[in-house]
Amino acid sequence: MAKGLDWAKRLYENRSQRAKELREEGKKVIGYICAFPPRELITAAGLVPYRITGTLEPIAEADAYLETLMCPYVRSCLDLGIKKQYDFVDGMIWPHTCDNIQKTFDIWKHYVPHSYFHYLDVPHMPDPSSFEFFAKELDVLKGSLEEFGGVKITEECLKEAIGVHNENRALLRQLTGLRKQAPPLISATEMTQVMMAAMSIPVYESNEMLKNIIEEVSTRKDGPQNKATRLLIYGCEIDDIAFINLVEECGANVVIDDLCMGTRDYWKDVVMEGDPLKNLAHRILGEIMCPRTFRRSRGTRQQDLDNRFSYIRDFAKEFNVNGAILYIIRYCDTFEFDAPEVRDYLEEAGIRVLHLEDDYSLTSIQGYKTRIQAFLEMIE
Amino acid sequence: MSEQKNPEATQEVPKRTSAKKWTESARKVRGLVRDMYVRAFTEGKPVAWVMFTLVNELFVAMDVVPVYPENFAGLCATKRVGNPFIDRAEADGFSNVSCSYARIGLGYAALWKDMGEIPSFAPDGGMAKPIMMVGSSLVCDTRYKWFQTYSRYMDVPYYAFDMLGPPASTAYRPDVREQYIKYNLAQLQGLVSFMEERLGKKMDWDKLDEIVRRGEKTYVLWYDAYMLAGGAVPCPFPAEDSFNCFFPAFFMMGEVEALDFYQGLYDEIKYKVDNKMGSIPEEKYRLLWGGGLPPWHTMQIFNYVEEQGAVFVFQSTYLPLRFADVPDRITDPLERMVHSRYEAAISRAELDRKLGLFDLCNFVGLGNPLLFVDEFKVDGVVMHWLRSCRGTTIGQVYQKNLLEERTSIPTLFLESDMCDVRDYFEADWKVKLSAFLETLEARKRAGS
Ligand code: SF4
Ligand code: SF4
Repeated sequence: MAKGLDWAKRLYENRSQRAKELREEGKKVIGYICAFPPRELITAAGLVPYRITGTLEPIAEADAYLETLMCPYVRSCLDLGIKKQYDFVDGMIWPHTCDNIQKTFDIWKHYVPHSYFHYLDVPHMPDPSSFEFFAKELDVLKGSLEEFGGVKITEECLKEAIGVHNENRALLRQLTGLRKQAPPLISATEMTQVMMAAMSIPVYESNEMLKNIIEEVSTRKDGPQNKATRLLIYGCEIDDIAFINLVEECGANVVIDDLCMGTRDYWKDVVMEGDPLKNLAHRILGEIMCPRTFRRSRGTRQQDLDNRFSYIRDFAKEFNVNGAILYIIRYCDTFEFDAPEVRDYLEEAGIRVLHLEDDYSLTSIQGYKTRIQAFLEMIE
Repeated sequence: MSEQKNPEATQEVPKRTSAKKWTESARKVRGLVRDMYVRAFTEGKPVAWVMFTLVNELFVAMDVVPVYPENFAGLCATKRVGNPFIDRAEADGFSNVSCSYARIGLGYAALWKDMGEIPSFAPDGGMAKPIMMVGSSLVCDTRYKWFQTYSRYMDVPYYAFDMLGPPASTAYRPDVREQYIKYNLAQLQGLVSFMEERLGKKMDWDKLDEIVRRGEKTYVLWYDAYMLAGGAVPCPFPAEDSFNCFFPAFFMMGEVEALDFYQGLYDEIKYKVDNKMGSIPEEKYRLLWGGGLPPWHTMQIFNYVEEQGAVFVFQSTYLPLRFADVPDRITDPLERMVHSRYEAAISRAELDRKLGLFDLCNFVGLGNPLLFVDEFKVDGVVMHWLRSCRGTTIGQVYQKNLLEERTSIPTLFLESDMCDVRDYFEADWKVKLSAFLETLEARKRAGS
């Protein structure tokens, strides 16, 4: 069996392999889209959480079911579903996170049948009433997973699952920490493979894999070369190495990200003390820094911007970057609205920014080479 | 969809972009629109910029003049003056696929700031400066995100609130209903507190009660008028009129004028239905506008199909909500508001669900064509893909598929945008519409 980074790479190349094996052993797999659904509840129900992703290959069949004028990432996920590539997924949790996901709910349900399908409503506001509502939604989800899994999720086993997932996040943060030095000990391309692998296997195995990788990476001699520029990548869903690899090949070390399948997913833990559902609600709604969740500010514009974006600037400082790329998927409205604000905010903090709006396809990504090179030359 | 924008679109401004109005009521709307903008400047009352969110009653009760930037954007598009605003917003980095209402609204504020005065080409004198802004997550993400960005150009306190609805399949469960109503109520209470703080005065609950109850009556008249018209042969109230006449329901709800307007509309439609007064001389094909906002920049296109004997007898985009009778035991006006909206949205979702269609709760937008094609004797359905609106575009292909599975009624997709005229290719639309009518003709001849 492969170890460390090799383990991750193999899983990245054949993501569904482990889930399919587990299914043959009688386990049930629960798919989920986006960073918002609580994996902890899936784990606590004895089910296997599996992050649904897309592919940069051309979309073939989804066009007969979805408009082309919408998030190409969601269209690609549906394309895979229609092509029966998610047949091994027994059930699906569909969150109300953005318009593109929410409005595909009925369509997925109609055309990609799973034996279990659960709609998870997620408030957009960050008020006490929103947290209360969302904790209730999580409670409803808990009940429905219990029914599907034929188990009772006790408070004790939920807390245990939360603990294991916190450990998972802590390991990912530890690994991310190894990107601070120059050169970083792990490349962003490798990191993407690790994330993708980690989200396709049970959390216990994921933790083992991450420990293995940390051990390997900490002492490696074959790590990334030192490049002239250190970059941060901001955006939504990057589930393929193509773009990041291109940036690294153009001559940069991508050392930190703010992405849905990156730090946004694992930067904050669930508090252990107290009501686990409330704590889960708090992490998801309060701590996942996604523009789809409104952040209230009664202060000045500057206070509002700090409230929403200072963590990105802090990342940039902590990881000593000199430039940032905003990778925005076209039609992703909440990111599209924030992007000019993030660009200006970072530029004001002295960080140069390249703002790209992409179609989430291999062909479009390959076309960025010259722009990325020009950007790197400018900031070197 | 072509990635190419139409380069000529902003240069060739036709003499008339708006459609002919077939009803007295529709002819009154332009004046009401103008009043909204003018009042904001002249009445000396506080002004709020608001996203349409089914809460206009609160502004009426607090004596605030609400101005709706999404309406302003549509108005700019009709006058073909939207694109300079769009260009300005895009120059700041806003995407050319972000909601064009938002691009116009943001570009307006940006140009105002650049020039130090309201751009002279802003229709109806433009939008007066607000003392607060209110958005919501109802319908789409743009509706709470867009206003967050206004602070680039004008620092005005902004409040956004949730109004959520469960899938129809669980909506009738008492625990689910309670959970949603409780939340939506708390969110509205938050909004009232924000308004009280901004205005430095308390809500007058008795006044609100009166306004909310007037609103309930208005909603019923609105719904009844639209449904009565949809089923009538010949059609007295084509979609282009109906696209006009939702204005008071969206932007004046709670006001006496809105109630009067829908009473007038109902009476007018009733009279025309009773007397079999259609709009076009010979109604060869009855069409349904089955999804997507209209092309505000070229409403005249509706007359183009009418010249060929086709009429859009209904539009299911701005589908009225029928407010079920709110029980008398609910005396708190805010609670009445929340209840009526929840029940109305859910009863509509329930209709969809019974047909095995959408389970998703839709407060507005995407009324399913399947609900209307038989009842309104529809020959063909036309839907509009909008390059910059996910809110009313996603789901159209699904609706078309369902129509194909269950009926033999053909569907046509048109593509452009509600405001950005660069996404509109008129020759292409005309060819498609004419070909579609030929298909309908061939089907008629074949006796299907
Ligand atoms: S990329 Fe944006 S629009 Fe697409 S699923 Fe993610 S958040 Fe939603
Ligand atoms: S529904 Fe469409 S047009 Fe309306 S605000 Fe949302 S994105 Fe814009």
